[in-house]
Amino acid sequence: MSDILTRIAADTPLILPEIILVIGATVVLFGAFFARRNTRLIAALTLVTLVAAAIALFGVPLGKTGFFGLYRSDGFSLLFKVIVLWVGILVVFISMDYLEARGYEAAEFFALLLYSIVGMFFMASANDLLTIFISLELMAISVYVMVGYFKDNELSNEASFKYFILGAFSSGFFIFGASLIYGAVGTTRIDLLADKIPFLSGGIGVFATIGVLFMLVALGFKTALFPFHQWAPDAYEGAPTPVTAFMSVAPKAAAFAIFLRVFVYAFGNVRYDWVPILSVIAIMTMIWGNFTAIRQENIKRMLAYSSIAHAGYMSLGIIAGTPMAIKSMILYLVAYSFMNIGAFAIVIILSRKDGYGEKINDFNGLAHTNPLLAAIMLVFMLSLAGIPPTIGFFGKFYLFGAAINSGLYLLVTVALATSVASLYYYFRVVKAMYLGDMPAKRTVSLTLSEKVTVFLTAFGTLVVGIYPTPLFEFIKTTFLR
Amino acid sequence: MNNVLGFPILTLVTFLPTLGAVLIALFLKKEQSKAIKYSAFAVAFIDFLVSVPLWFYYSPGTWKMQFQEAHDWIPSLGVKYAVGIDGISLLLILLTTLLGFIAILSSFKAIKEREKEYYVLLLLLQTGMMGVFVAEDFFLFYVFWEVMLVPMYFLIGVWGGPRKLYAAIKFFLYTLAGSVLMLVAILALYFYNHQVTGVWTFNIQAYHQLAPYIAANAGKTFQYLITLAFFIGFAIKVPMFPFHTWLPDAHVEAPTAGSVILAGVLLKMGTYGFIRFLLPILPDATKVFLPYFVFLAIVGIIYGALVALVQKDMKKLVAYSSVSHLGLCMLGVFALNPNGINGAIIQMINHGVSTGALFLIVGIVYERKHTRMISEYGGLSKIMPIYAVIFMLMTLSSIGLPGLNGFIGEFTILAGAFQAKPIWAIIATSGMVLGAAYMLWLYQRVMFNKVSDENVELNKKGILSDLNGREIAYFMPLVIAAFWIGLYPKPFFKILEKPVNHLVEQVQPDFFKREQVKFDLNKVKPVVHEGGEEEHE
Repeated sequence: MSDILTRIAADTPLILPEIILVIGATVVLFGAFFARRNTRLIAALTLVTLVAAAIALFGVPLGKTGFFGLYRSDGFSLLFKVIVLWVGILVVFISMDYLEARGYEAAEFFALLLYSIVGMFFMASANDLLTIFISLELMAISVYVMVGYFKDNELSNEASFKYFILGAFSSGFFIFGASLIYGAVGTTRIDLLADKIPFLSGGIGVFATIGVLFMLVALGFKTALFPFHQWAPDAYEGAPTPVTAFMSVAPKAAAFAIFLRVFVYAFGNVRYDWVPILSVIAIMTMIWGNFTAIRQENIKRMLAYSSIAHAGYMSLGIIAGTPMAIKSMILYLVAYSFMNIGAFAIVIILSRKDGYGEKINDFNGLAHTNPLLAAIMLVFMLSLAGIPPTIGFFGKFYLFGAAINSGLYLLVTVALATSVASLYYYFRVVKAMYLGDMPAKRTVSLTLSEKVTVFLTAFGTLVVGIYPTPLFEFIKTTFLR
Repeated sequence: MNNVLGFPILTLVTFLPTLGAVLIALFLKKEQSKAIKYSAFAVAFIDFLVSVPLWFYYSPGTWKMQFQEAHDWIPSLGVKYAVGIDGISLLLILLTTLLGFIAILSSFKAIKEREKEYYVLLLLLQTGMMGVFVAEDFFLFYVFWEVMLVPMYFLIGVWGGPRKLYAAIKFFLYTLAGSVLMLVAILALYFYNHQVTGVWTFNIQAYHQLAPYIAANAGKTFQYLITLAFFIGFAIKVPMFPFHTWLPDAHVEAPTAGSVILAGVLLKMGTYGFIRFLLPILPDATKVFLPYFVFLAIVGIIYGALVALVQKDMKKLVAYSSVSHLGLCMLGVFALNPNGINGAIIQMINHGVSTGALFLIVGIVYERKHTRMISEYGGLSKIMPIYAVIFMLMTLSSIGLPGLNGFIGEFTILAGAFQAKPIWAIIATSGMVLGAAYMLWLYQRVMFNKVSDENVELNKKGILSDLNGREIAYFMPLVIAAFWIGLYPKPFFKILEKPVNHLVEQVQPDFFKREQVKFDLNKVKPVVHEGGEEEHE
């Protein structure tokens, strides 16, 4: 017994960032009592927690497996955690004023945000199907509540409910699949699964195959791949916009982390069984996401379909499965975090309490009233469409390059063809801003935190787009550690 | 690394317009209309002046890249900021800088709203185009190729005609679709090169050197797919039939300067792509598809000319004439011999000069009367004599009258095509005849006949007036260029000689040997020896 405790104690430094986050989240939650109306204080506490977690994160030893093989700390998980933290910080910035202006409590919101980040941290490091499941639930339940956070708003409630039902359903798929695999193989450890799965005998192999398929369905739900994407547009549209921004990047990144862990590492030796299925799913996702986005009038809904499409691109990395492809997926997620959060930040800045600012037409003439903001939005739209010199171009370039290197010509051709189509709907926003009719003059003033967000994301999108070497090197060296 | 000038002249020429654009964007207010115009013009003109030394310091004795610069950009991918030019790019760069300042000068009156954005975008566009011609790294090339689409989108979309929104997005989507196909091809070559040589590089020369290996060892399907991807990518840009449908829309809706740049430079990027990438990197696969490519080129010549013949709108007529002229350029390229390719490059320059000028000519009357319908004019030569002279010159240049530039290009191309396969030249010649028909008929309808009372009235009011000093000023360089190439093309051929011969050797390694033998057998002193210029003297 004491032996177990000493081993747990010895492994504790591995999860120091998570511990900090949990403590911080709890403090923030209790902020509901001591700082009820002080959004700024709560936000500051959240930021401090996130920064402390970031500092702790870089002190964590890498290349170690702890907690009896349930938890793995490596360069891969570190990179995903960095993305999640970065997105978390940006979301704190964009939600402060949004919440305050609409009169909602900040404490619970930020606490949920931190709890969900804890879940994502564990997801990135999980080395066991059960750890994955529990961390997935921790993340998902927090996000369900965040989606429905505007309790007086019908759309928000509906979105939360839909997301919850489908999310719970997919979690069921996941745990059922995991149990089938456990039954067939006798372990839930990722590293052990990789060795054992290919040597299953015929009959048991069928159960394991069904298990793999179930998990594919579950992770397809979590990353919103076709045909498991239906929850996404409603949830994205109904959720408070900062939550939409958050859930379009961070939970998706974490879900891709477990997708990679489970499929590339654990099921890597049977990849020829699931690659064809995932390839079809990826093709359909890219086509469906991009072509449905064209019709949308609501910008949040459009960005929702766009994020479905981007998930389709990213699944190319899973299909390729090479270290290069995984690195390129991480790079893509970084790129996506810059440009997508940036785009949402601008939607948030323009939106008003009555829902104005969520239609693409509401962007009409923005170039006349706020030229700088319009120019920045243009950069984000170019980046999302993958036009150089933006970070989105490098993301696509590296990702599709890795896929071509693995011989996925058809998938890359579809990806590129659909990304050409995507230009059309991104440029509907540009068209509205620059070529649309002038609306009545309206002034948009930015608060400090909004300025910071817009600056950080635009700076990242452009500067990394022109000189991506430092980011490339960081990902490369960290990944190898 | 060889740069006789000792300072990074190509970087300077490429990024000077961007620098100017940034300064204008930051320091000039949008009310300072005059300052914006003149400083944009100054930037473009200085850029032209900076590019002129390239002509004098270029040494035509080698096909190798000159004025090179190289810096690491993304070392882990082997991406470099590498620029350098040979004779082919040199001529296109000079054409770009020339048309660059002419386009700005021609917009002073035509553009009345959002002037600041307009000039900033024109300058940014210039950087994009220049970058395409100087890039020695595939990645860099692709970046410039794509970047350039954005300012063009806005130029058409904001300052265009009634259907500008449709035309702008159509232009963007078409070219983007082509360029992503090209990207797939580039990436496939990149990984193939790494497999073979173990080096990560996007250096274009490295791919040129790899070409024989690809032809001998790479799978046929691989070669064919890459060839087709490149072909479609560049053919959309040229545009070759049947990928040309974006062009009439974009041209008709674009503002005059936009059309000038579009016809003068942007289309050349496609032909340049063929010459720089498709032919030298995939010569064997290209030869497999050659009959189809040539067929499309010839269809383009005839089709473009026939459609131009029936146009009622002057600008649309000139736009379709571009399809025809570019078809001829492509025929020259696909002749795969020195005459054909020399002619194609000269014709690219000619087309930039004469069609650029024709768009300006259409722009002049449009600016005055706000219509481009041919039927609205007639007899203009009586009220606008200087205009009539320049219009005549450019018409003749466009239809290839000896003594003017068009003749040199067309003749050389047809000579090359004849050398390759006589039937090509024979069919293509009928396109020339049609060309003369639609251009002269246009001139006749606009310039001769009776001048309508309305136009006389407008002329009296000073609206439909003859060219003013500024307008004459921006036509002059084009007129001079037309005469220069028409009367003394030797320097141009001299500059092209080595690079083009090298290209022909890459595509047809035994070409010169074969020619030598042929002439020896017939005991004829070789007419075509190393370059193509002798026969024009």
